[in-house]
Amino acid sequence: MLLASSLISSKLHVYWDDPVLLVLNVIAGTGKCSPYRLPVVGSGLKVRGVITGRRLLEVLLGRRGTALREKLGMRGVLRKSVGLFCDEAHNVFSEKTPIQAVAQFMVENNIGSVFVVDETLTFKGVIDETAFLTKMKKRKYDIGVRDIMQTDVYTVSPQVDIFSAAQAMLDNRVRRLPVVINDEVVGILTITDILKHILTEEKHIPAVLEDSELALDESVEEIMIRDVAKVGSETDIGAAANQMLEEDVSSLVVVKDEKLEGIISRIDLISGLARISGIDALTELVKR
Amino acid sequence: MRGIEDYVPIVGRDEIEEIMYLAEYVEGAKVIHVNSTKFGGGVAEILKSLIPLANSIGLRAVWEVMEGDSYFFQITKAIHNALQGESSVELTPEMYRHYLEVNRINAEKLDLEGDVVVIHDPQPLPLVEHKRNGKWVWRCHIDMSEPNVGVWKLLRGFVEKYDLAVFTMERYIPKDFRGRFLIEYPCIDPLSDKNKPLSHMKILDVLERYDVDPDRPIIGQVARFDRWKNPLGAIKVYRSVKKKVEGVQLLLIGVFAHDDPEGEEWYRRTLDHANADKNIHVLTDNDGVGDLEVNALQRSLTVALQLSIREGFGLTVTEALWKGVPVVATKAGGIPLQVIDHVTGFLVDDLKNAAEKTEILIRRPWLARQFGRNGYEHVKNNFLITKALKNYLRMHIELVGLLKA
Repeated sequence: MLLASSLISSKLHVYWDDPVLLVLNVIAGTGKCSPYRLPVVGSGLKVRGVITGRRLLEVLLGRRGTALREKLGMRGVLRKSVGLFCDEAHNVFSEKTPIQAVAQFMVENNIGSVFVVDETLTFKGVIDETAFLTKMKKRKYDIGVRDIMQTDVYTVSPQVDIFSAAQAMLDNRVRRLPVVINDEVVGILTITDILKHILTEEKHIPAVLEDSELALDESVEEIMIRDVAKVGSETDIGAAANQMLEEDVSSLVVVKDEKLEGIISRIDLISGLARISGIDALTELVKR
Repeated sequence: MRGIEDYVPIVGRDEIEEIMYLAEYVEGAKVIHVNSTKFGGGVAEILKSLIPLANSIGLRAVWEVMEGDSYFFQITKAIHNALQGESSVELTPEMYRHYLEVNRINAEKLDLEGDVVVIHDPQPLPLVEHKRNGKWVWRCHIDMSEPNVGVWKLLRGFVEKYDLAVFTMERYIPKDFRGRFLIEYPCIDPLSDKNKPLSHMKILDVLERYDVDPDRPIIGQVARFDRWKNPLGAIKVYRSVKKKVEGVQLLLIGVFAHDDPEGEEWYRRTLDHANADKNIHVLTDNDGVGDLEVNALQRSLTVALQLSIREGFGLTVTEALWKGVPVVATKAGGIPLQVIDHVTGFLVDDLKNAAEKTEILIRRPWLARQFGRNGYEHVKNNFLITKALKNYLRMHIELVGLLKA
């Protein structure tokens, strides 16, 4: 029987007492598909929570940590322990859990990763969608992207300022916005892009290191990714999995004649396969 | 009275130290919780444990229970059903007026002067109209992903007046809600009367009291008597299992919550449906079933059922798993977070499937034991109250952090 320990795809983590600023640097790191979601561990590597890019953006925009900010300023907040802002992890599994259980948990609950621990609850690693996509990519399923894509997509116009786009992402609880002009996809903006921009753009650095106001008044088109990973709705989900891994992206924008039709994320691919072909199809795949 | 130190043997010293670290940020904060019943249902269950624990780490937590007449609770039950998606519910102007009036009267009687005021569920939702000071939180324990549009339209304005809303899961938040929110999974208290370890003698004693035979298989569901919990479905499953497993017994255990006017009706329907079958035991607080009894009866189960049509989180599933009992359950609400198919129990799509899976577990005690062990471990890793306490403290830090600074 294949166990959870065999599918660990990352061991990256941050510590409970790491300052928020340090965690921000890890999450807004290099690569198009940055670790949006990170395990937070305590002493002895015990799993203590989870921190996401969204939570950090909330802190930076003053939607989280508001009481502390009034007393300490943004500078003070960003130097506080990430343990004050993370969420508890409710996706912790023993390394001896059968892999089918992990797959089932992820697809039933639409949760993109689980944290694996040993019998002393010590952190061993993360299983995320990558483990499944890697197995999916080499095959054909006769399931088109159109069968499983999300069609109710929030978008943004390139002229909108980044602050408003960020607020829209938080309000609508999404982590990416296709940028469109008359339904034509011209770019994509993710929470990670915004975090990277705040960390690296000189004019925003005082807001992070000192206490000046974070303006984010430049337009979306200045920072959006123009080289959008796109896919046609007819594409088989195996090919889509392959494309996501090759291009190192967390989602594909589905287009027809460059017009937006939908969006598909890594967990959508896995959940979609399980929904249409059954959970056994997914677990059989992993066993191969 | 339990204190935070009592949890060290279960969760370890490190976790308790983290709780104390977070607690320092909100030391001395006066927190008022308001709900509509002292007994029955997940909310009362959580508050019963959370409030003494909060007090043991330096908060000043108080629990206020609102009062209302039976008409009020009929209205709020209708609202509850509507917010969970029942489209046929209509709130007449008279019902709405009464709902607001009872809240107004309660606002005069209840102590609402806290640093943080936490209002639970829709019954006391309009109390925010009478907010004088402090930060106000609406803690929504129900699935509002597809609310009845008319009723949600009436209530949305109240929700938006709160400083923060707390939901059980992100997918339970109405799509058009735009306020600040946090997610808090409910958790169980491993040291409460409902969950603490019991001796075999105590379990046998309770079984004897309710005339349940400990030597024959026992299946059962712990839930309010309510259409969403599907007690009649549990009886159907039992009848189907009975054809294959001779002597099987069914326990249906529920508590009459004061804020649930439909409880009595569904209790009667359940009794009618049981049709005086001696192997069906329908037990309530009126039969002397308290927390300890529920604990003992749950521990006696060969298989726990949870056949809910809609569910908030399903804390009774968490309780069963913690006791090492495998669970056969539908995929409603938070159940799939807890029941992992073929690992901690079986997830089923219909009652026929539920009966088949229940039989499998009764006939294969080794499998039931294995699932039980997995379930215990899953709850220990993910759903114990110390986690809920940390998120609870973070909520306070968010609203009144460094109160004394």
